[in-house]
Amino acid sequence: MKPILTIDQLSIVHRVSEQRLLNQVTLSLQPGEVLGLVGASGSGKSLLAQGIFHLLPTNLYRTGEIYYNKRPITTHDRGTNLVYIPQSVEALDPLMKVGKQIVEVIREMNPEQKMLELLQRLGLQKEMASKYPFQLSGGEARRVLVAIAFATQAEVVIADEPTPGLDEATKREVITLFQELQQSGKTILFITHDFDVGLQLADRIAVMNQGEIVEVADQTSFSGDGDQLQHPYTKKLWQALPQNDFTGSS
Amino acid sequence: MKEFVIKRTIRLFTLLFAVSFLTFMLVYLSPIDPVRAYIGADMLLISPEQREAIQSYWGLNQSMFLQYKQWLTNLLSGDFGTSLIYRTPVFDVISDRFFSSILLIAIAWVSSGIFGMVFGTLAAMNEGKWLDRFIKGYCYVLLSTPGFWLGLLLLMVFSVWLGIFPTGLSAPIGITGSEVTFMDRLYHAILPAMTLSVVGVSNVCLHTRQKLVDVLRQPHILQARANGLFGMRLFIRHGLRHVMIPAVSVHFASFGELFGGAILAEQVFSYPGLAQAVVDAGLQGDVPLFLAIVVMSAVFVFVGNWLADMLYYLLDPRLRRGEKPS
Repeated sequence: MKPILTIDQLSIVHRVSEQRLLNQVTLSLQPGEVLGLVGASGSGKSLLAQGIFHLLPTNLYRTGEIYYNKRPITTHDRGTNLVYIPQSVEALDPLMKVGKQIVEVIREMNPEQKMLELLQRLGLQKEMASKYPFQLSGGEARRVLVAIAFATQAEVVIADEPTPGLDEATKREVITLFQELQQSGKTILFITHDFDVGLQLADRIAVMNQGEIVEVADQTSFSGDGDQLQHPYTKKLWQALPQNDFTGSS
Repeated sequence: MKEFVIKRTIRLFTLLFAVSFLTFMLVYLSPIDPVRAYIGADMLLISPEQREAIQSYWGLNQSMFLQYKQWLTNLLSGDFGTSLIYRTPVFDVISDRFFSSILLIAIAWVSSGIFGMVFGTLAAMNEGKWLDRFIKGYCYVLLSTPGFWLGLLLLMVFSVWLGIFPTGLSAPIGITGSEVTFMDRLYHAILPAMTLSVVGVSNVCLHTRQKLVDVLRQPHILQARANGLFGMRLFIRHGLRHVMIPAVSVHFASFGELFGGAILAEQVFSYPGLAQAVVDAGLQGDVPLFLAIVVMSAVFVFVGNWLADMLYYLLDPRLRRGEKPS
């Protein structure tokens, strides 16, 4: 099968210091696949997401190319073929009603109708549409973000740390939401520092360390003592998980 | 909401009471003798008896508190007293000049608001580029320009050299008051209004620019851009309202500055508005006129601030629905 999204030797460089924050990252996603991208904070995961959308801060530039269905990505792909689910619920405009924020990304007839359907599908009350983001709970806000991803009908979802600092129940809820996204046939790049969440969702896991991808392994390789893992850093991460007795950190 | 209005109204009256009392006290303590100011050069011709008669006629031989009480009672029954320099009821003097001043202030206020918002937005959308640097530089220069000097400069260029606008006054010379049209009024108000608005433009512009620069860095803008919004559509949907909040509050709260600026602008252009009347009243000891204008300007500034609060409340749903803004 041909990949739907290909990241080809993407590097992100600081304009002044020429420091490479992301170095020659190459990844490809098959249609319908969930690829988990894990790594410690500061390893460059979020930059990768911003780099894919070409939305880097002005002091950074990128080299390399990103392909959607084998053609280079343009700004036109934003919101049509690719959609971004951000890290924080602050990504909702605080001064705009939730319903309106969903409607504005819908590119079909009857966007209002479609928006109400989406709310219902994600288990949100109809009244939610006329609320402002500050009136939502953390879980509701995340559902709205997922509703926006559904609303665009984009095939590729790039999710940047959708589960930071959530309590267990909300975290499980978010995981369920992403499983729904996956079941609806979307391709997902799931960025997280939470190895556990990555393993629950992803078909494959890419491990990132200091701006480089050190290993891409099938989800099934993460079992036992991690004998099937290649890179020492991946092994260490795996063994450091609580269920593996924290052996990696000793 | 009801509570809000009642609170504000009580505050307005307390403020007016304090302002009028303080002004009254200052005028009372000032070295200007109202009788001398009233009689003028003929002071030498009147006898001490006549002088005392005038003093007791006006109640000047009473204590300050009694005088203030008298003034306040008259005011509450709608009587502002009689102006000493114009020899007509204060109310007539003010209402005549009120229109001139309001026209001037309104033109200045509206134009500085619109231009300030537009320039500020343009600068922020092009942050760091030449347009931004140009607008910022322009604002800094204007902010450090004294208003009266700018007025003189405009007068020199537009009235003396180019002859496009009149050099002063609020109506053409040589025609009666009833013949003056609104267009005449407007034509005479443009230069002083320009003087007044230019400084206001920089204020609103720099506030708008800074707020929009901050807003454009917020996660919700990144999200909107990742979802395909850009340019004007992005600004109108996700920037405008955020920018309106500080711009509106700065602009409505600038009523006070505007009134102060109007005094200078009216002086430079010999524009017969309220501000010029207050200067005359102050210098010539016309206490009734002076007090009335001070009270009126206090109301004016208060209303400006009050509107700013109200609009803030309307524009920010977080305030409206009983939450503190972030």
